[in-house]
Amino acid sequence: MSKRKAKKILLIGWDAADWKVINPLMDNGLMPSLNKLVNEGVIANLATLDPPLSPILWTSIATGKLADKHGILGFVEPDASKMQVRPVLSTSRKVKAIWNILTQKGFKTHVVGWWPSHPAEPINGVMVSNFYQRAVGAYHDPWPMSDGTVYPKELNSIFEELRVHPSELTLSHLAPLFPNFKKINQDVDPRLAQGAKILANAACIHNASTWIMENKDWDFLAVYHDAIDHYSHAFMKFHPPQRRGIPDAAYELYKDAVAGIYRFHDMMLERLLQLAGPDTTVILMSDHGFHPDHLRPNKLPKEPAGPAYEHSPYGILCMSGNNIHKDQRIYGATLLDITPTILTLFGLPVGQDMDGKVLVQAFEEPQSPEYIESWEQVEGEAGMHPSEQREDPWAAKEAMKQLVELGYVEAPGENQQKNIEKITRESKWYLARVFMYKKQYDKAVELLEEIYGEEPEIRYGLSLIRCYQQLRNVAAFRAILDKVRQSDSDANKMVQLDMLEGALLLLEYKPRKALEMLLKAEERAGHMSQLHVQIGKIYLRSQHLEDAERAFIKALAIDAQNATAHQGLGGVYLRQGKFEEAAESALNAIGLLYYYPIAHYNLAEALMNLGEYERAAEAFEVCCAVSPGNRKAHLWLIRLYEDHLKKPEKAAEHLRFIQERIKGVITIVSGLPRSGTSMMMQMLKAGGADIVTDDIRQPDSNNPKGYWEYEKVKKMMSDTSWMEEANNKTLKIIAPLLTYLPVKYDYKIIFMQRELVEVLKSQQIMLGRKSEVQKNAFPIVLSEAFKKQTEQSLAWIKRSPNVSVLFVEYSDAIERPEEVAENVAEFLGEDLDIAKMVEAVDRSLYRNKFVEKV
Amino acid sequence: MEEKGKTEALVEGGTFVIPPEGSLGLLALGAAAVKPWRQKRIETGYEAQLIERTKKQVEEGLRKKEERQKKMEEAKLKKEQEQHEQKKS
Repeated sequence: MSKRKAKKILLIGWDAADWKVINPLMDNGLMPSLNKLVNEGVIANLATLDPPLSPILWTSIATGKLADKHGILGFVEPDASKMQVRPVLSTSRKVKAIWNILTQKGFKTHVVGWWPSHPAEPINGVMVSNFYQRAVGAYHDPWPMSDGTVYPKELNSIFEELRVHPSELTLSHLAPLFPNFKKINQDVDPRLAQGAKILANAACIHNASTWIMENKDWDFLAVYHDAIDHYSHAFMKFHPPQRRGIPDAAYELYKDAVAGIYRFHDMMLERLLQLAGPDTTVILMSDHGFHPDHLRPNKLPKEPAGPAYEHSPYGILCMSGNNIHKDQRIYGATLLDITPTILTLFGLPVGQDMDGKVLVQAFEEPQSPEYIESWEQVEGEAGMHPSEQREDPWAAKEAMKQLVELGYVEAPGENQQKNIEKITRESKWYLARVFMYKKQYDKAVELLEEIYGEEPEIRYGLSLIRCYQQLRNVAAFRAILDKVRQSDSDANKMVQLDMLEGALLLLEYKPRKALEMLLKAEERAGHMSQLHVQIGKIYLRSQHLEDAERAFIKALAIDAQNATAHQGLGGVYLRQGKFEEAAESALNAIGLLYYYPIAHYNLAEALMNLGEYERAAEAFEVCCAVSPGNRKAHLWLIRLYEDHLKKPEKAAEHLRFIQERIKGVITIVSGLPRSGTSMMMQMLKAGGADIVTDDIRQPDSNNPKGYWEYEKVKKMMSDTSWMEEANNKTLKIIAPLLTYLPVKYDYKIIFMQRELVEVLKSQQIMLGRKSEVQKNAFPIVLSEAFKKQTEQSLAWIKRSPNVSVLFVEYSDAIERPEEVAENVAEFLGEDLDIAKMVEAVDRSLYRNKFVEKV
Repeated sequence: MEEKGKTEALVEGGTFVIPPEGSLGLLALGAAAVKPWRQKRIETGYEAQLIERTKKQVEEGLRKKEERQKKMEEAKLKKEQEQHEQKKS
């Protein structure tokens, strides 16, 4: 066991807390306790997970694992024994939570209100479940506590007394949150009562946690509050600034509610910190944020968990204590990192099966966390429910269904059945989204195809399309997109579909058409930040830098926290030679989304141009660590270490990595002889591509601008050992020779297509058979042979997974060179100089045009 | 109610005002403040008033609910009658 760094840890969860609400309150001195904590510790934007649903997220926080492992898949689950739907229970969690691991290691551990934690688990301390605070009945009526609410149950009577009933609250409690309460007509407006109920619930949880702190020994205490989330869902629409459509009267009544509940949390925090004492490491965090500004949605979709669309992707993290940096910001934290970090603070190893990492940046002393394979295999009393009480509700539901089918159990009523089917589909959708988060798109597709087949809801279809987009399966992408459009007349109004259509056109390497589609969508939905990002990316790729800059700035004006927009803007500045601005934009992007390799790359490139070689090398190193295999980053590092930093051993390390680990990509320009391959090579050369040619074959009257060939290509049938020379470069190879390409490389093939009549005519002229051409003698046999060869080459392309292809019509390249140049740049994913590529096209050389006789 | 404003020691190092109707600050003190606050309510007769008030609220709620149901039924009946007469005419 490594050294224990924290004596005690207090983990406080504020569901939906958002820095965008907190910062102005702290600036105005209205959250002094949190402000103190911030100044004494580290803070971060804590990236949420997808789907952003609280029971799933809080279980990921407590386990360090995603939902495919922990098994909590939504707000509700089937109650197999009754064939009903019930709130999600702790017995459905498949893995150990942090409190189980700590119990196993003998730590005094307490948990209050965590979601889901009912029934309370028999841990080494007190657990108060998330059913604790629910008031039933009127104040003077009995208020029984559900079985399993408190562990150990001997403490039931104490905790019963600590609950606060909403009726106990008076206007003295509510006035700070609703200063104009006198004007609220409670006969018709239930919102004040709703606010009182949420506040009373918060008081229940606070009383339980403070009682434990005062009366029990503790090493670890986790307390979860949901009041900020509930207040935000109920009252954020009234939060200043007043939105269009919010009546003045309602605004005046409820505009202070959200700020008020944050301030009450600050007051509770003051008490918790007082009871915790100075030796405690405090971790305060939220599972996601909540849009408090112009990003608040005007309308919520009518679907289960629809209110989650009000959530923003970053929660808060604030951590302070011994060995924790003071007044610093850390980057790249996600919800999954909380449990591994707590384990390290307690000197315990982290499970390698955990999806999170230790937030080592937060520690004053450098840390090398210890690991074990998994905590699940570690034997010993972990304070979990006995195995017979734990069950997978989804598996239990299937088992029950089988019993119904066999006639052993009566079938549930129609409504019950429908409800169960509905939540089952929802949970599969959530699980599919977890797989998408993990980039396991094949697994997600399997689930999505199933549920979309059962119920063709647009949201399932959209997820499916996104999977096919990531899998680059253009045909399936198109098929589902069309199906979604046809399934619902409203779907065609959806800007998301236009954005996906744009993405599809990009997958087909048609950036100009994609841009047209997106610009049309912009007319209807100019308020969507990501739409401008997509537009900006296309402009950036085609070197329309001013247009790109404008688009990214528009995106940021809508959402200043859009990491992709910051990154895009950085890309523009880099190309404009504004290196300081480029570095700043890249840093903004990284601050929001740490695992963003291209942002680190751009930062490094900007720093290199500013002469800050040490920092540039650091940024390239991060880029390589985040995304191993970025060849360009390794190459820059080699140059930096050799030329500027004088660290040849580091340069050698990166060279070795490239040679041993990185598979190269070779760009091939192909097609039949005389189909325009030389012209494409000229375009690529002019655009800045690295061309492999030996200039042995000199320009002549047939190809006055050169052939751009490489002599060794002719011997490909017997020898390809020289291919390494073409690695990450561009080479011309005629179509019949493509099948001899060695499999060890990836290939991007630009396949030139031209009317066969024109090709043959051009070939005949080249061979000096002008008279035959003049006689219009068409070489039928030759034509068939070429056709066959082309078919064979195309069949080989189709069955080669290491090959991607862009077909270019020769006539298009002549008539619309700019569009073709853009398509090529998009396909290669490189910054090519479009204007110079266009200049390289000489229309006068289109001499053997085929004009069909009418 | 004459005791309103009196301070009492609730937590280490601090004394706090415990008004019978409570306050947000008192609520934020957590477990330590709940018992004294409820005790204060009993001592000042506030608790009895609270129970009386909530009982009344419940009764009032039930009465309003019944009224609403009655009104809905009347409206339904009226609509049916109108439809019936329309058919006849």
